[in-house]
Amino acid sequence: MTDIASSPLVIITSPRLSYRQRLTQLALTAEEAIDYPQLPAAARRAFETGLVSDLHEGHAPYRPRYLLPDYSVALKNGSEYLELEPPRDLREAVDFLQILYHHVPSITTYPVYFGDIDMLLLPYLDGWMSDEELDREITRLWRFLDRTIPDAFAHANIGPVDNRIARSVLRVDSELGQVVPNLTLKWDPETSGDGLLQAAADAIVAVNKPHIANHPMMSRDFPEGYGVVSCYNTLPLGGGSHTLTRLNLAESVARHEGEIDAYLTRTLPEHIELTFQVIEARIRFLVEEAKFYEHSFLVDEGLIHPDRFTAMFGIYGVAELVEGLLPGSRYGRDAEARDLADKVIEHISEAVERRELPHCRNGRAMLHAQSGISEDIGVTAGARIPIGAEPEIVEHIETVAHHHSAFSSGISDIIALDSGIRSNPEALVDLTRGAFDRGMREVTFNVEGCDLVRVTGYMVRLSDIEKLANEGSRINSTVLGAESVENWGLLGRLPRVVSVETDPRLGTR
Amino acid sequence: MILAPAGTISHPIEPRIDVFEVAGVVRSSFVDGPGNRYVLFLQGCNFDCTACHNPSTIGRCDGCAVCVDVCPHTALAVPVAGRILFDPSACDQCGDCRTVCPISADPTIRLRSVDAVLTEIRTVAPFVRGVTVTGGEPTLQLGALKSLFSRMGADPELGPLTRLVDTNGSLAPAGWHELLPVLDGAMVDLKSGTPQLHRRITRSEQSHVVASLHLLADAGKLAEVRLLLIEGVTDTDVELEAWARIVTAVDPGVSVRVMPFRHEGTRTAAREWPITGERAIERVVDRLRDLGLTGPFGA
Repeated sequence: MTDIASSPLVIITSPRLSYRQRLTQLALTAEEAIDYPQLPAAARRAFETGLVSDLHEGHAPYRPRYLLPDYSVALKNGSEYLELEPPRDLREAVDFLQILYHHVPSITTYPVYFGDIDMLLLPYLDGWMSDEELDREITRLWRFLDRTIPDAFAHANIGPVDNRIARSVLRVDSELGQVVPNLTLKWDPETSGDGLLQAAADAIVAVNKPHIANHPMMSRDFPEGYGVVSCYNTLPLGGGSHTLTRLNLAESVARHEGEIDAYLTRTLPEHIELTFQVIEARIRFLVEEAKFYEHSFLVDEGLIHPDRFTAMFGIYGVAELVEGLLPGSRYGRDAEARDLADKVIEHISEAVERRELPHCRNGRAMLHAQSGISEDIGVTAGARIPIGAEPEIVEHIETVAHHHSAFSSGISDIIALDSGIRSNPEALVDLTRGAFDRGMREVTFNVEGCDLVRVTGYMVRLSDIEKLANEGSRINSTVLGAESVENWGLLGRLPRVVSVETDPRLGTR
Repeated sequence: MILAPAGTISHPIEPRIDVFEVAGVVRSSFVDGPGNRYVLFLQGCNFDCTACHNPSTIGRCDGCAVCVDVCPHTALAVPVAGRILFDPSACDQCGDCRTVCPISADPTIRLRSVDAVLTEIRTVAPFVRGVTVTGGEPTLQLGALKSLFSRMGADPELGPLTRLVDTNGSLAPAGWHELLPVLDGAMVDLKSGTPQLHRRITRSEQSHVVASLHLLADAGKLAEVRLLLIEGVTDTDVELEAWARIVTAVDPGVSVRVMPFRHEGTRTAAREWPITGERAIERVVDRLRDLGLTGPFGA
């Protein structure tokens, strides 16, 4: 299987890694020493040759990829395991959450979800607390998160109700300009109000955060509630995803000989099934061998429920697939290419609906447009239009919007804007309204000229990348951003955006 | 929809109230007024500003045909009844015809009906806060402009969109009174403080512009006053004091935008002026504040 681990000695002596980073790398190296879960021969071949990838989740999964604990349960009940009484005021509630975060794992070893932070804290907000005092409390929490959880996949959510804490978060977050936490605003065109969206727009032109989720659309797919975490992964609240395994559609079409129909009826279904076999093997190991869900106080105390965990079926390279099947067409520019993309996505979506999986919410995986990792050279993320080939903004949004409904566990399209928008952030409100009107599930803007830029879902400070080569970085994801800069020409091509999700290698290569 | 197909006459002389002479369209712009806007650029301007950054929108083709022989793609043909024939399928947008035009016009300009413009606005309606008509000078096509804005106002889907013009302020009071009932606001360029400089850099009279500012402010429809900052020309003490005096008399609290001068698109005569330096805008805004204007000041 793919050997991505370095030798223990290289890790231990790497001058650019912190103690904690060395520890994580050593754990990964140990995990890679175990045989990969048993796979049928064809699936093993697909995995080894890059058709199917598990995004370096490791050989022996011992924690789910993403966990979205329902922290409100613990705030209400306290925690027996952690010997904590329910908090009584805002400061106690913040302390309580900080302790909890410490005990929430994910693929990065850190939590990826801090909860709907405004809704969690609102019950503790006294009417007499001034905005200045509130901002000071949020600043303390924000500083704690950035300094102790150095990983930009970690995400806080706010909204959809306009409230004082959401406003404070937007103020503080844009003032601090930190990589952590990443931020999503849940916004409902009918009920949230333009005021909240305008406050978000003002923050976006400063720090390229928050990402904005179409709340009514998300709520339809997740009646139990949802959170947006990591790189635009939308997952059930009180649950998460065992794994994110992805099918490389550019590679899939390269392995096909024959007509389009034969691809759709023969090659594609075959490749989809191979992906499912890898997903199933990983789920079975996590649940049945490592038995994560049997040994977690998060389950015992009702913060997560095993039956709310799904698996994410990721795809990427829709653009290359379409242009491979229809030589001479340009995805994002002609209707023929768009229609074929729709057809392919529909086929995959139906297959995901049909295929039963063990230990999954509703017995099914959820489709995800995977936003890439730093080593993806020449393959476009998810169902995006290739960098540099984007049409004008309204057409761009309309081209991608009408397949957004298929990707219930998230899809990212990043709309790049030049710095002129800074003097007119109202335009961001209008563009968001338009995007949601056209059926976009979520939208992200990347405004040129910010130090904080979105590599895909996660944020990187350009100033950190410059320092990395010499000094290393206390923030793990800086390395990934730096690789993207190198592999995708991120700095030279701003405001165009490249995509990376995750890669546990922290600079030991 | 484009009214004039290949090889047909594209420039009627008679004013028609249901047709625009359109220099360009931007479906989504955040630099032409508040929020995201649909922007219609009309052909033709009655000023002749040295600093114009889009000079080929100034003239309206009179069929002189100097461009016909210059076109390397034979997309233009000898005029019929004084009007140029244009074949868009042969054109590759090289711009040679615009460069050679003695009256800063554009023989490739097409006509577009108000209906066609409304149809296109509908396609972007959920994405925009409003429509800005600019140019050229939009009020020179007053009939079609009025027709567009009144039909927008009566349309259930387009009614909520704001209707702005970006104007040089030359329209006569009678014209404004026709337009005001269907207009939400005007952004007006006041190109100089003194009438002398105005004449020199626009070859037009300032008094009409000042009258328009008062008329629009009295009607509550003066959305913004703009100053193009040409260092050493429009920002001298005399000029800024005169400029501030005019605007203060109109409304000291009106929105003001000081715009940087750039060389892109300008004709040779403008290249002698320096492009606006980094701190200059801030400096001029501070000066205008000292002179009694309260803003808000846009960047």
